[in-house]
Amino acid sequence: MTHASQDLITRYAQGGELPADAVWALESHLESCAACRALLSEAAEPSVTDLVAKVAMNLDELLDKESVASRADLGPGTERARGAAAARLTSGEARRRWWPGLRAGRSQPDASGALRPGARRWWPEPGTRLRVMAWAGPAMVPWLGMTVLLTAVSVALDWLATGLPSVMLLLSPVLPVGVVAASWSAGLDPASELVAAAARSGLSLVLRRTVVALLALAPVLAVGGWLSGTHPVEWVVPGLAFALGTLALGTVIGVGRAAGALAAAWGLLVVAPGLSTQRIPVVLQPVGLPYWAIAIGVCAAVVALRRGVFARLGSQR
Amino acid sequence: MARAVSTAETAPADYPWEIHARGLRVRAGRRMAVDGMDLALGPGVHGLLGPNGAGKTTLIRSLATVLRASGGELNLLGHKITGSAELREVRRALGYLPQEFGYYRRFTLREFVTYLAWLKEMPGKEIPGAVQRALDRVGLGARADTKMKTLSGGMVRRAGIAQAIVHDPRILLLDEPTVGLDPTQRVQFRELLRDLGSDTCVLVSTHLVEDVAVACTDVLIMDAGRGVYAGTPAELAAAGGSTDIGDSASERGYTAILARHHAEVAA
Repeated sequence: MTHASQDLITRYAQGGELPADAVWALESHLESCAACRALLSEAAEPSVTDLVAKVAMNLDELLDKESVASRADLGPGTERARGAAAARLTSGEARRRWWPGLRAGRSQPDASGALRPGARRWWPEPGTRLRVMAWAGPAMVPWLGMTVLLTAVSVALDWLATGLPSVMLLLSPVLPVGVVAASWSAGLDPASELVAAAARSGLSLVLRRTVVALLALAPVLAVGGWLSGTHPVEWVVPGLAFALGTLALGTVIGVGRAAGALAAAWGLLVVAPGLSTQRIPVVLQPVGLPYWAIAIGVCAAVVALRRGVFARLGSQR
Repeated sequence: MARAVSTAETAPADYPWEIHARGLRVRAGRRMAVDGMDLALGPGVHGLLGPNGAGKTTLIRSLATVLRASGGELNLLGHKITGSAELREVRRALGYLPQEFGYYRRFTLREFVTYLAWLKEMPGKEIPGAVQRALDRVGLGARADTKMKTLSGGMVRRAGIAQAIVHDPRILLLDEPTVGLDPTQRVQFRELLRDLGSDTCVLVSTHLVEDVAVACTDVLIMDAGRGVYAGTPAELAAAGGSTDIGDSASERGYTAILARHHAEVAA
């Protein structure tokens, strides 16, 4: 194979005048010939070599973090470790560090000061944390916690005050309202205005967050209902109606306000009379179920018809 | 990681203006905060000035499509803004920094910008590189893995700018972006603005006339929900005389134009 002349490479590196076909031939040769690339790096101007050295140094720093452990095994053979790390970089594994799924803690040294490269295997694939955010919504966790607490308190009341009607049953329709509000309300989601302006904003994002929250809540309510002796249908159907009702009313006055209004109305009109008369209100008795089903249908229709509202900021009030 | 330029980006635009509004009316509460605004904005940095309560924030919110206009016509990137189906496509090319925005305190900077990039429907493969690039551009690349709650006000604002530019938007709406930035950061931000303005339609609302004079290609002045002036920063500076209130030529021009407008309205 013929190599490029030193003169040609020098002129190329220093930006001298060269015919286009010579440049083309030289560049394609440089791509495949390490010896000529070495000549090129010698001929390059200091400003260029400095920049390249700086980039290489930064890369080394990144790669070193990855390969400290393997280098320790290899002893003085740092070049081999670096080569392996570089190979991993190109194979895409090292690119994981840019992904939020990889928390800083993962590559931090343990108590003995040694990195634990094996530990990364125990973590899920990169992007999992993003996927969790994508489904649940970032403001959800405290509200899930609060709802679980409220459920536990109602069950405890049922066990302690046996004379009263089941508090769990009285509260079960409004228990999901909190997490529905947490999934789409400016008061509970600090970045609501940023979310509202994003392409994904809209009914599909609302439903995605709400459904995930309700699914997370379902087992808790199921255990609570079972402990206080409530039939699942008695709380699933009203709970679903209230969740959809919050969204339906939310298209008019905002989801946050709708959640507050519905919870307050339920407390005043059903829970308070139920506790004072010590009887299960008629709406929560089995005869009420068909009406709840109708309410679910109506609310779902309202949400579907007014879906465009969810793309705007007003739906998060 | 180099970013490939897609054919969609180099395709010629089939619309005359990135932002085109005619007689736009937007309600803020019960008040008509934007009352008959006409806009025709192409690439460049457009400074939006006006007294408090002039309707700047409401205008920007409606251009960001988070508020529905109650009258007039709005076209963004050639799409008429009406229903929600069109919104999705326009919003993918729209960057927005609200005047006040919250953030998730437990998130790191990188997680915050990544989450917003996902909300903006960026392709998953492009997100990590784009996030790093956006953070580098606002000078927060080295702090990408610090928690949001440890950041100062100026850094949070820069994080907000990073999320607004992460998806290389074609329309960029910045509401008071220089609040909380120190003088050095402000100078860097103006450089970033000039850089962005070469191929993006940037609308910056600000109460600092100096920002506009230095970094903008043209100036809009709003008062009581209407546009009262449009010109270049040089024309703005020339509009004021030595008798007008202000510490610089641009400020004197700004106060002179508003005073003239008020006199016309009163007459």
